[in-house]
Amino acid sequence: MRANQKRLIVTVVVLVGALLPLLIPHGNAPSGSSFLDKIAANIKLGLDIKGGALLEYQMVTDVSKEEMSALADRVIEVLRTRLDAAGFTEATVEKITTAISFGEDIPPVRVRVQIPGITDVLRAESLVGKTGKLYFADVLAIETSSSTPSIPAGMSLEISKRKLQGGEPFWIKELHFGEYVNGVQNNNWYFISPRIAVGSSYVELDGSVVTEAKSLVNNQPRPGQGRFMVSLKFNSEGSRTFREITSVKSTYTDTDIRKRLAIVLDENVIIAPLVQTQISDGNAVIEGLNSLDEAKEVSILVGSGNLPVELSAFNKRVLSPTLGRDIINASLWAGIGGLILIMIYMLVIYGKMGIVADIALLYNGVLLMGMVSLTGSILTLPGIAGIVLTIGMTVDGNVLIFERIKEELRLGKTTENAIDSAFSKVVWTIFDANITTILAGIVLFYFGTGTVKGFAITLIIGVIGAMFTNIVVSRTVLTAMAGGIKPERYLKTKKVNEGREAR
Amino acid sequence: MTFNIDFIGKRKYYVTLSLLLIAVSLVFVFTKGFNFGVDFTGGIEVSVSVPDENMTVAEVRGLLSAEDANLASARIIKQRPLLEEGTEEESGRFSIIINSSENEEIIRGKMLRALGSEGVTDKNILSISTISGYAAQEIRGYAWIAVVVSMALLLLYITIRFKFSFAVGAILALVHDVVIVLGFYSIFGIEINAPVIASLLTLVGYSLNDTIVVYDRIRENRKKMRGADGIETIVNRSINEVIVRCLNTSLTTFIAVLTLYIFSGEVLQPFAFGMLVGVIVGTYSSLYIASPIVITWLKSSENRKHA
Repeated sequence: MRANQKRLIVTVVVLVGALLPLLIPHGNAPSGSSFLDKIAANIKLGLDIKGGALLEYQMVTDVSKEEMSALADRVIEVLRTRLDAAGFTEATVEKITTAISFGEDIPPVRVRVQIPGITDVLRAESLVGKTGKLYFADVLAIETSSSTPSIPAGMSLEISKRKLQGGEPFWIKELHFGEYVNGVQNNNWYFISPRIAVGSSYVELDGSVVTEAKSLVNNQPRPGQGRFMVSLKFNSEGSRTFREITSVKSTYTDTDIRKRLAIVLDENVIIAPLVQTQISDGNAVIEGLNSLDEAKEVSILVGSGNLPVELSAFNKRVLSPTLGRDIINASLWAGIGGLILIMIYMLVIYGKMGIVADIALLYNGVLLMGMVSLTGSILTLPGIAGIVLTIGMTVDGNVLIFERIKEELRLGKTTENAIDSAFSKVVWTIFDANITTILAGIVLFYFGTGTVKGFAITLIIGVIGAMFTNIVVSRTVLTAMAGGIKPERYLKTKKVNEGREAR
Repeated sequence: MTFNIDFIGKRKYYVTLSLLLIAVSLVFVFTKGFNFGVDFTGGIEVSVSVPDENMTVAEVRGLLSAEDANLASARIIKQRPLLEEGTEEESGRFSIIINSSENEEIIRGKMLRALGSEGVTDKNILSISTISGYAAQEIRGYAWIAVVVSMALLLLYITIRFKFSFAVGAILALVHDVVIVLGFYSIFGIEINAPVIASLLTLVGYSLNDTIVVYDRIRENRKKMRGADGIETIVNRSINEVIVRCLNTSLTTFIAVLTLYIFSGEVLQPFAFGMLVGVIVGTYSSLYIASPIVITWLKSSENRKHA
């Protein structure tokens, strides 16, 4: 019996250890939410349940895997800055490196962005998905049109001159092209050249020279202009080029198109302000913005620098919280329904011993959730499948134990002896049978992608928990209630009614 | 125990039955093929709710193809209705899968225009998944490797814990299970999505449970009954001794997976389907296939020893 006291202590300690991370609020539940909500917040839910966007990008480049990895780190830095600046602090950005390649074309290093609970995906994508290059450009013409304007007349000389320099001009849309502001659709097109004329020569300036961009309130706006502005800081190399550019551009009159300097991100002009003065110290301001949101957007896009490489979508999943809620409700029913059915089944088949199985089942359920919470594992939809499956598997060990006890009782042993010898014989069977499932789970964890990893986690934790529950907890409870199990029942059934025993 | 089924004497019949099932499965797999989900094919999958619960797939297709003829070939599946939050009203829900080079924003716009007359607005778009061809190619590769690696690991484990002959029996039973389950996916046209891989791997691990219980008993009885009876008698008796517990363990798991199959939505239903079939096939193979194979091996190795 002393051994059983030890087992009882272990059982209680582990139970408390599992309950603590569940009951002590450590999640991100908003203050003032109910106790139950706080408990629920202790378990991290995957995007496939609570809704959100998962955006995975590959890098368009030919470099080696090692260089790609370094490149990805820089991409992550830029994306992190952009997301933080836009207020998506809960978002995660991570590098994905594939274990095995399944095709030469599959990029081995990728960048994954996860933004939980987001409803405005377009906005997130315009921040993250604005993948490409940031650069400054000359503006040659501006037009409003719903389709691409034709090449401006009288410009053929200018165009061929720039073409020779490798800066052939092209039409490009404004960032918010097609959107309505105060009922007016933005139809602005810019005819730009990525090479900027400085006297008779041309220079290029890309966004990597911008070291800082901040959105600010302008306390003395020019009459008729917006009250917001963006300040830019350039590095020393950028300052030099920027001085050359501004020294020329500032000399033109306000109506001269050449006075404008476009800031271009990918396929869009973010903004094309007029250059008012020569800027030598590398500190510039863009004035006259109409809203703080606009100023913020410009500063984020310009300030987080250009990505060192172009990104293209590898996969994207966007899920509304509505669907997630529906899914989790359905899965809860599956779990509760399965739990109740199995508990009834065990009671019907094994009588008093069935109570032990049911206790073990609930115990392992708490243990599993506690471990998920403690390890900070993310519960995904397939993860819930893993939990439901664990419910079915926990009783398996008990079935093996009970059948063995019955066998021992039939040999005429006392209940206590039967329990002891049954356990000593069945421990390794339970171990072997479960370890195979754990092995499969580990392989799945290693190779599984995305949410399927969540399944591997709950399966592995669940099966280990089931082993512990069966070998330690069930034995404790069984030994404690050994007096209630009548050996005669099994002896008698065997002798009197052989046929009916087999179910 | 009171069971006395002749598993071993009639093993030829059971093996024939299994071979037949495997043959049928393979025929279906190679002729009809699989209903691969967007995870495996690449493309765009949009899940959309429509206020009219009784709307049919044909009506949705009609509206979509009126907007863009290319959308007529989309795969459209009617899903379990969605309970609108805070109300008792259910709305219809459809998955629309498109293989298109257009980006998802354009597709989204087309759907909103096409289904706008049915009251579909931006908030009715429940999810959009865009899977590139590369991503699909990678998941297919992982799927195969995962199944093969897990089988190799299990072969190794059973060899260490039992004997190589047992391991061969166990693995053949596993291959048997996986092929037949895949056959069922093909026959019933159940979608193969990413969680299905989880289903196959879990099945591989789980289906071994019963096999191990049987093997354990064979090992125990061989020690106990050394020399007294032939290997056939020992194996047959072992299976009969553990059949009740094997059925009980499988049944409880079956119940759990069945509730999952009934209640869960389209993401987990294919997973639950594989487990449902797998638990049945796995239990059958543990009892009827895995052990007879072992006998054949054990006998031939014993004969070699005597010779």
